[in-house]
Amino acid sequence: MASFYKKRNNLIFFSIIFLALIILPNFLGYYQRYIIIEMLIWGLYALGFDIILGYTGLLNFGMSSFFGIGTYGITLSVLRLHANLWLAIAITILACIIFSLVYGFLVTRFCSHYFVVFTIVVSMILFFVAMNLRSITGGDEGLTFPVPPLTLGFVTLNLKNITVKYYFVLLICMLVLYLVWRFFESPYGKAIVAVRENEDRARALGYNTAQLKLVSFTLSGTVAGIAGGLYALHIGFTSAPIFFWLLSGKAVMWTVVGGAGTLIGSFLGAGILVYAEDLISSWNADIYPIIVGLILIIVIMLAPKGIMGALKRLKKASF
Amino acid sequence: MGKLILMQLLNGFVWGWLLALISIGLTLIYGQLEIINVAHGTMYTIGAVTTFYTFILFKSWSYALIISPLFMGILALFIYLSTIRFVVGGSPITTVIIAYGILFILEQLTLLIFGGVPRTIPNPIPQSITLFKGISYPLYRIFCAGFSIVVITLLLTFLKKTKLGLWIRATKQDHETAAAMGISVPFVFMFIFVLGSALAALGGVLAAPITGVTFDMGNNIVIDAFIVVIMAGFGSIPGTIVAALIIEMVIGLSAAFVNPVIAKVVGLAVMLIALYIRPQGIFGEE
Amino acid sequence: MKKKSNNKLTRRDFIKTTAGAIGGATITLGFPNIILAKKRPIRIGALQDLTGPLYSFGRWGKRSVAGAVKRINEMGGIAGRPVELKVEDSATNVQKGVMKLRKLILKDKCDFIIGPCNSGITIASAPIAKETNTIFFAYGTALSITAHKGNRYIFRGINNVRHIFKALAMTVLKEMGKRYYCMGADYEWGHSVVDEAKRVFDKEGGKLIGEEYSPIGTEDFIPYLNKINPDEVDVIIAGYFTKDILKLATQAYELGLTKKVQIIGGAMPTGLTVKDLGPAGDKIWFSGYGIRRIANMPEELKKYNLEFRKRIGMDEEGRDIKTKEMGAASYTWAPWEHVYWVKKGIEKSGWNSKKDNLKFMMALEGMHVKASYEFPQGDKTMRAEDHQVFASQTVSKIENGKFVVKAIIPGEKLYYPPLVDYRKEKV
Repeated sequence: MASFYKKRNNLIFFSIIFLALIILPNFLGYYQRYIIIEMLIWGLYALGFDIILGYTGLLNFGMSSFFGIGTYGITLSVLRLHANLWLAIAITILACIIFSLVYGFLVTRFCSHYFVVFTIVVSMILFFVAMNLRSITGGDEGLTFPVPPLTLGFVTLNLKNITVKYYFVLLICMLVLYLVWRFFESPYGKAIVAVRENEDRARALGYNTAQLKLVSFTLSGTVAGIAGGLYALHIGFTSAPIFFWLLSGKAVMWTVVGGAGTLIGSFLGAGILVYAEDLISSWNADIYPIIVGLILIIVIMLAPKGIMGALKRLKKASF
Repeated sequence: MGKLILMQLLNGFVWGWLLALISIGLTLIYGQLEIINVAHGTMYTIGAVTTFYTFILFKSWSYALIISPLFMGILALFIYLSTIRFVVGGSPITTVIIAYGILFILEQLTLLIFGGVPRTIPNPIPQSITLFKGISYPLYRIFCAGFSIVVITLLLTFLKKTKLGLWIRATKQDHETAAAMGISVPFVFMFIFVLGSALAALGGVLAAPITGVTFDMGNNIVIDAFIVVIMAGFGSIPGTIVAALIIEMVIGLSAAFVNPVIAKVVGLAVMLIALYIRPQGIFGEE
Repeated sequence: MKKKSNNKLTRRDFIKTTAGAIGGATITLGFPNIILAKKRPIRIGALQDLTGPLYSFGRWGKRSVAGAVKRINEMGGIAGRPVELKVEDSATNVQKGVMKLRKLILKDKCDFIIGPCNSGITIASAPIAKETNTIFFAYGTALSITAHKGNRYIFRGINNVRHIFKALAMTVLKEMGKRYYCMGADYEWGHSVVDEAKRVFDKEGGKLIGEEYSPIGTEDFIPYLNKINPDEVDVIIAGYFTKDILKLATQAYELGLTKKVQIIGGAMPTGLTVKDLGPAGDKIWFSGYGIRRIANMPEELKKYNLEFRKRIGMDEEGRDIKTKEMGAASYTWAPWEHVYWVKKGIEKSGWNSKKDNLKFMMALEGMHVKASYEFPQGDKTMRAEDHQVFASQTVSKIENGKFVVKAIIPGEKLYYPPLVDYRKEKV
């Protein structure tokens, strides 16, 4: 009975947030809407990381690979194939799935530390290759492309319009979040969590742990890739340095600060830190990285389960 | 073509020893403390930055060989006592987040103090030695390789012959047993972190006249160091040396045929394949 | 009906009179206020590389823009309107530069952008300038900025890489060996240098021995230089700037290459002194967009440059007055002049807001300016088709430990046909 009330309360809570986000743009100026879009996109990227770390227990330190492929998927589809929005998105998702499957097949056999380094190296290989293949990727100065319009049946909306973009990004993020949540509520998703808890025991119970890890890896990569695609649509631009390993670290940071293994935590962490960066850097650009560094250290030492973890403890304590 | 290959291999050999020096510090920290220290590159940067200031102060580069590692050692001590010691042996996620936090803070402080402006230090040994007709090679780089070899040899001797070295090796085998035998394991851990960071800084001192000094120069080298450490096999110092030399010389050799950036990719790919065939690294245990 | 007495104040009269009085008072009191009310300022956004490999250009660029804005405000603003300046650091990073550009335009509502000496950032910015209806002044020097990668919103008040090699071709190339090897920074500008070098060398019957690109901020040039055989190569074209050219020259010297091989720099050694380069710098040829030492300038330009340099804290040798560090003298006049191009454009077209951008563009297209305090580098013309100026170009060499200007070629002599015609663009 308690879990029913908990679930209902959670649902109400999230519905309120969702509704708030829907009506918010009416009260916000152009630049604030721009920032919220960024918060949502980075939140989705962090969600990709949460899937592989929080739910599968694997530390993928190369998330920039997927994000970068997502940006280039959209960019190249529009520039070279003259694809419309939906085709570009479809191509991007397909590319991410294929890439993640092949990559995941190779790498999920490794455990812990080797996995980490393997994923970093792959992202750096992509970085160097992308920097070098200027004719394809635009190299350091990248590629700018015309953001295609949003066509829904008879209606055509301009995706460059900040309000249209806001709702587009918001709806996609909500949709993906919902699908991922449903996935981990399903028996298959729960099996993946079992692998995270104790892989040997899961295998002993008859689960095909290699397949489970591969599916999770692919889901993680595709979600991060979708975030990349949204980012490309947001700024109409991408460039080779997107693959550099420091971007991967940001996913780690946002998810852990928000709370790994909670899905919502990744949006929370990304949202707070991205907003804080914009706020603090307008005031004093020099201080921001130091503050973030301190936040990371303090959070991981005092609240290793992130903000969500701390909130849960507070809730428990209040009973 | 033969001369070109020889020249690239020589250059690879020099960088291999330099990379080995920097990576040994990470092997110790990652191998024994199990800290995924992404901030290791900032130790290297700080080594180079303090070299720059030492040069300005004393008009000579050589003092930095002592001053920079010393400074880094003290700084590392402070970092260890305030943060690292609480997460030794913790989950990979915990250690990497702490290291990331340290990376952010150190790099930003370096940016604020040193500035975003790339600086150069004049070559301490400006002579070149002639290898073939019309082709010479800077003597300073050969000095760097030689110096690295000497330092690494001293380190190995230290580990083998001294009591503290014995403690370190014992702790590596099994720290519960080591503690039971009366070895102060926390002290060993602290010492390793300080030593490893100081070695990285020393690498920065040597590299500074070649590469110049920028506030974020460590972000490239740290990836190379991680690759070397994994390829070596967890915590193996001889493996680190071999891996560093192999990687740099493979890159050097490839650079004779392709663009050096692509040569780097070749090196990384070779490393991935090697890891795939033998995941435990060159000298790692199964 | 009772007849109203003419003396009695009717309610209607009362209202009319009071209203009139109040109205009259408002007009008499308010009108001068409206006239004297502060006019809406013109906002200029300076996007400069204050950090990163191109820091030298950015730091001086910021001073030049700020100096010009200050001088303009001292003299009454533009069309009676004060000029406000907002500066952002693009950090020699295209991703950051694009972000900061959007911030300047969308958040700070800048009317004009003075862009960095960075071809990569300029090219990424060009579509954004167009999309947001914002005019962007660039001093990155890759050719494509005023060719197929630019648009009608981009104006370039400095010569480009094509001018460099035309100047070199007219003066020294004939005496050099014909076997050349090209190296460049692996981004738009480095590639532009190599392209223009090839065009010019091939016309002289040159033979391309090899071509290699390295990332900006390459740490070790030796793996690249190893490939150059001094017996097979006469000239190295080096498309690098600041510390990269120093490293390349030094390492080429260490390898013994400079004994036989001639180096031509694709850019002036900004921020470096001849002493920094040491023996490695000997005999390197450069072609520059401006003159570093006032002593080397034509007489009529000296007074303009003395005033300009005073305002940005640069001495007659091209050094920072306070730190004595060598500055970006050959380039930093461009952002100063860009601010004055804005002034000229507004004054000629009667520009009031971004809605008048087309009038502004047409005013600048084809405009000729003369050497003055506003345009200290000298006479120049802003070509209508591609928004590219044609200014004078220097050819210099490091000789016996000194920087010697061998020739100054006027802009008209460096003509090349435009590659685009932006006037056909819909704005």
